[in-house]
Amino acid sequence: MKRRLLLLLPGLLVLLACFVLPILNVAEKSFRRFTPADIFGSSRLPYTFQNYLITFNSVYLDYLLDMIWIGAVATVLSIALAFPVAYFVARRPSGPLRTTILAFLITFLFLSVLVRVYSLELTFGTVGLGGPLSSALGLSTTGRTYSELLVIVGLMHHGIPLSALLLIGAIQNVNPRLAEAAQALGASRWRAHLSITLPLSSRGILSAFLINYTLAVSAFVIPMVLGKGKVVFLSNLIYSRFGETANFPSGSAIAVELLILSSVIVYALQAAVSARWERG
Amino acid sequence: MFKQISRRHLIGAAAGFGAAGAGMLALSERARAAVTLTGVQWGGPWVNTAKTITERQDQWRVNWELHTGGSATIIPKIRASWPNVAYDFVAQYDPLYYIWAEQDWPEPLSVEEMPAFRDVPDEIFHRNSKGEIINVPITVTGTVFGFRKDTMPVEIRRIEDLLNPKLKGKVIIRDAVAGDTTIVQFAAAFGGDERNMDPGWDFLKKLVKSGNVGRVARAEVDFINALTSGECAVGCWNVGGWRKVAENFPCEFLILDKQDAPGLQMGLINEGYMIPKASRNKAETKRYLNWFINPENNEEYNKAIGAGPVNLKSKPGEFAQRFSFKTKEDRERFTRKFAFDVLAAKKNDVINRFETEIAPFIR
Repeated sequence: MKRRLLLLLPGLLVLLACFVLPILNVAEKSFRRFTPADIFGSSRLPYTFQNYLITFNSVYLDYLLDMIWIGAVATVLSIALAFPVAYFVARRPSGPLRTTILAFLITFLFLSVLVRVYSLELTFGTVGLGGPLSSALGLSTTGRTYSELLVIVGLMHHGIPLSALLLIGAIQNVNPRLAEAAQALGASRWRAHLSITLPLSSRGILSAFLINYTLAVSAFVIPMVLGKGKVVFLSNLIYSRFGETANFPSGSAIAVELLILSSVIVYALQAAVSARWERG
Repeated sequence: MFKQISRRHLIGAAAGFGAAGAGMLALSERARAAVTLTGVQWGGPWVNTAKTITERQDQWRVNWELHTGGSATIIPKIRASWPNVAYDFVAQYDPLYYIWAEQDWPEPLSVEEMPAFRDVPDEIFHRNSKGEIINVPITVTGTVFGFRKDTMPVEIRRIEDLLNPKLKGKVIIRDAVAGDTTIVQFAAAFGGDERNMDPGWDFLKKLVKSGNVGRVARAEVDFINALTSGECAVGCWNVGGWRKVAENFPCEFLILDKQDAPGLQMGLINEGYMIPKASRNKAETKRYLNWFINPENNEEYNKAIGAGPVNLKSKPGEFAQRFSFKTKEDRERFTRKFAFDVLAAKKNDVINRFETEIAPFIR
């Protein structure tokens, strides 16, 4: 037992040094009063709740809600579109098509986020298909709704390949004979799929949802470039404070709020789904 | 199979190695003779031109470090490491000069130490409370209202014209971080100024509620992309950004007389280097920067970034000439000097106000 604990020690020390301590540092900074140019010397500055109180303004709630719903829509759509791809790959015996699709999904994950967003900007912006597409949808390319759509597409660009790769394993773990047995007993293909394959893959779907959603709500470059200043996520507010105005206390306060919010969403969702699974 | 090695090959190789060794030695001698300074600079053409100019001499070598994010983010880094600052000079601009002065960081400078200052107009220098010069001016630039002639559906002669319904989605504005000067210009149009920015805020609210704002730009590249793609047609931006747009599209600038169109003057901005008192190479840094702002270097640097030189013996580039005002009378009529000390103190409030009162209405 003692030896096992010793084996854990290096990993725990790295986690403590690289994860826990920086977060504690950020949490501590979030309670310091902002004084221009005196961020790192903040041990002299008094503690305050001001950095948190400012964000309780209803406007910041709007930023938060925007981030939550845009992230949720992008995640749900990503999983819905990724599931058939993952199913196709999982149920197909090894072959060139399966390999090609897998390679395609992996390559997409390696693509730089900057390349993704600027390719979308070029394709669906004012000079690309954006003009005719927005006219067809009755939207303006410079309007907020169009920017929200672009941000959702940007998040899906990453979400679909990631979800598909995560779901392949989950679907492969579902024994295909169960669905075949259901069909042999008279269930249609759809019914067999919806009542056997989908529920048995639900833990994988939940994992894919949580990973995707966490990445979506913490996205920074996608809302910054495709949102055109109209769609602003909390990560953008955090960046402007840390990276542009050097208001570390306020940036830290928003970062702590985002961390708490993400943790609450993840645990609440997990708890709700687990309770449902336990009830059968 | 391996190639046969002959005596000729060996002699040739030895001569080659000898020549390479001699070259390396010469280079290392040159490097040893030069003083190495560390400077913080903006990326893109700013640092590239500074490098090109610096490489033309052997006395100083510069380790260029780039600003990450806004120019203000260097401030807490310096504060944290003071007095062990790793930098010998730092590129900054007006609002940050005040913060440096407040912290008592800048090395005082004089014409005796830096003779090139004799060719720089006195009004460009920033001084500390003792009246000593604290900045090495390098660039005079400014923000101007302008528009793309080929995509602008209406004519603009006053700030209020930006509310014209035909400009739906055509106006580009700056984000909260850099938008304070534009708000001051809006304020000036309605009787306000840096101390009373409320008229500017009121107008900005009307502007965003009108639906005419097509993009909120964070960086110059956002501005250039929005204007060149035709997404937006009108806005207030710095001369360097406008130069890029004007390279390919016809642009017109609204630098109008204060009496006729208050708020539509060119807002002056000075960029320059600050030498921290804690620099270990102050004397050499002063000599280097004195050389760096000589007429030829200052001209080349500013032509490359599309701004005006500070050295009176330098010629402005073709584009910057449009924005150079020779007489004091013209400068008073067509330009505005921002009270950056007031704006620096309000920065945080401006950001909060933008995020809470403006951003939610941008549709």
